[in-house]
Amino acid sequence: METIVYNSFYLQAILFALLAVVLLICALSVFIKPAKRIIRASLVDAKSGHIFDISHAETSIGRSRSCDIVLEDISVSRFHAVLSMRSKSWMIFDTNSTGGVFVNGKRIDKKQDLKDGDRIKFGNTLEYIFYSTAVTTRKKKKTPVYNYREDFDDSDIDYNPRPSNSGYNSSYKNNINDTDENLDFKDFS
Amino acid sequence: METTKNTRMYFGRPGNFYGFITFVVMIALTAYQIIMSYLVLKQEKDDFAKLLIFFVSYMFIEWIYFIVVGVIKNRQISLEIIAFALSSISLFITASINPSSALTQFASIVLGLFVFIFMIEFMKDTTRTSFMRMPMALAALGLLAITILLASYKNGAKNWIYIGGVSIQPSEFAKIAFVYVGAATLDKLQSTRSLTMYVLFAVACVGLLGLMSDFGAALIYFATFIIMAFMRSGDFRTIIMVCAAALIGGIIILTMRPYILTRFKTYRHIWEYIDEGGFQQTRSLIYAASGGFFGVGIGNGYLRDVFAASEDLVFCLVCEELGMLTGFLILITIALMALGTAYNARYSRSSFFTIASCAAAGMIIVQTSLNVFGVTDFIPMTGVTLPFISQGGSSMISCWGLLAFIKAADARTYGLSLSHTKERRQLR
Repeated sequence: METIVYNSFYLQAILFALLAVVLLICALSVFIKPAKRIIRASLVDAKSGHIFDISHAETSIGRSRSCDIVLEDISVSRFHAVLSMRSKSWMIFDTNSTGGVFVNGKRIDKKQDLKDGDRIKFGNTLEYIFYSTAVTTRKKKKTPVYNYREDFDDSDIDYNPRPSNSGYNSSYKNNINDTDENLDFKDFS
Repeated sequence: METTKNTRMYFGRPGNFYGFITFVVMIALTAYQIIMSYLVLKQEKDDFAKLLIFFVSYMFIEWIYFIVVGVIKNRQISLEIIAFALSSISLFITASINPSSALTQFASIVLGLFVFIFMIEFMKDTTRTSFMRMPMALAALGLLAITILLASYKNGAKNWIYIGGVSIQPSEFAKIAFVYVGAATLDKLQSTRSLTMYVLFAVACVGLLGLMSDFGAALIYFATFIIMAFMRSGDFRTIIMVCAAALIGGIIILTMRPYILTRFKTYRHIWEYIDEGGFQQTRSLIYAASGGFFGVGIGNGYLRDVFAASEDLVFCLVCEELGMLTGFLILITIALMALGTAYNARYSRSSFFTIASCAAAGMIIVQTSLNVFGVTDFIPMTGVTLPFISQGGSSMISCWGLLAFIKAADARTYGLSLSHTKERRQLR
């Protein structure tokens, strides 16, 4: 009868250990640890200056409370539009709304590319100016009432300037006025 | 638009921690594969040169991918490393049991990698991705219809097509198309909140699989449909109605075709039919336990002589030859990968990738569960493969394709920044 020579116990244990190192480290590194919030674009109320910060790559806009941006106007449909970040530009989609979506005064067909400074109107609402970056204003920013799907908690937001050595803040500093005490901004360092 | 500067840097500067860890992991993986190659090659005298070329080429491809994507393009490649590790286990097992099939297995891994890379590049443009949903729906239905027309019965199911001596299982490729069709961008979801068209499509796919008698695949498709239907609508009522309809449909089919039940007569009675219908499962359980914690060594097991050892019974084969701990390590890795997908989905750049990644991960989990629980007699055996581990070209390519959805949902894949606002403009 043929005798089977089994591999060394230690060799098998080493093989398992190597595989465990590879698989467990890689599996655990799949979990992302992002910062709390990132502002990708902004919608600014043309009249009041109220800012809607866009932090998702796809943002739903409508009268429904489940939308990311809730507009309480009867001319706004429950699921009125979607603001979407595509590979080449930001786009606004009219998702079968009744009142329509207007960009720079013209009603869009189904979708429209957006660029900085475009004025968007949902139904008969006020105009909103689109910016493809985060913005601040000289006015004190009011706490947004309906802005995000998640509950908005600004208790951890620092409204005062803070020096930082990170590469992001070094370019960020060029855009702020340190001497203006009325400025509100958020430091995500 | 977003640039790559904001992604997590791996080799951006010397001494980067994450880059160092990735390099260490690659070294560990290569060491593992070198030892496994030695253990397989020392038992193969006839095919030594051929297998050596395959193993060396495989490791070479891994390092090329690591250097190009991980170092030069500065991307995280954890998912790919997991897939490389699991695929290499399948290559070693196939080479050990059936050296003549090693070429096919190696080629299918390489082809799967190309499919993965192509899908990642293709899905970079969300507009283009969304546009291709209808063609993919037609492709899925076409693949399944072709299978019914051209395939012949094998092991009780009609799901294999032979082209030039190579067997292809189109239902495996249709999985990729099925997930693709079910996902949708937020504008599509908001425009068309009705699930009717998608339900009809899913019913057609599952029905065609039922006609092929491939009930394992039908179950996988159905479970994936439930996941996607829930993510698209959040409508529990519709999902419960669909499940109830599926249950009623299943009962009607079993009433009309009672012979289907004979396939499951050994379920929970495998020891009574130990030399008949329960042969595979009883041997699997015995030999899996005999492997102990670390296994008897590749090539030294007994289960390899049982039919379909490297396909349906591969989990128990891994337990016997590589150890029970390795078997559970593989399961834990797949589970963590699925959990990570669900966790990362919220940061995806589009709901298309969120839905697709969760569906793909769900599909892999369901398939793994059906394989492991089936071979251990927790549920009736359905003849589905273990993702990435089982021998089988179509299955391997399909697994890499599903991995592409999971990878695409990771915001870091396309350079989307996850921390810090890029710049802040002051309005005057």
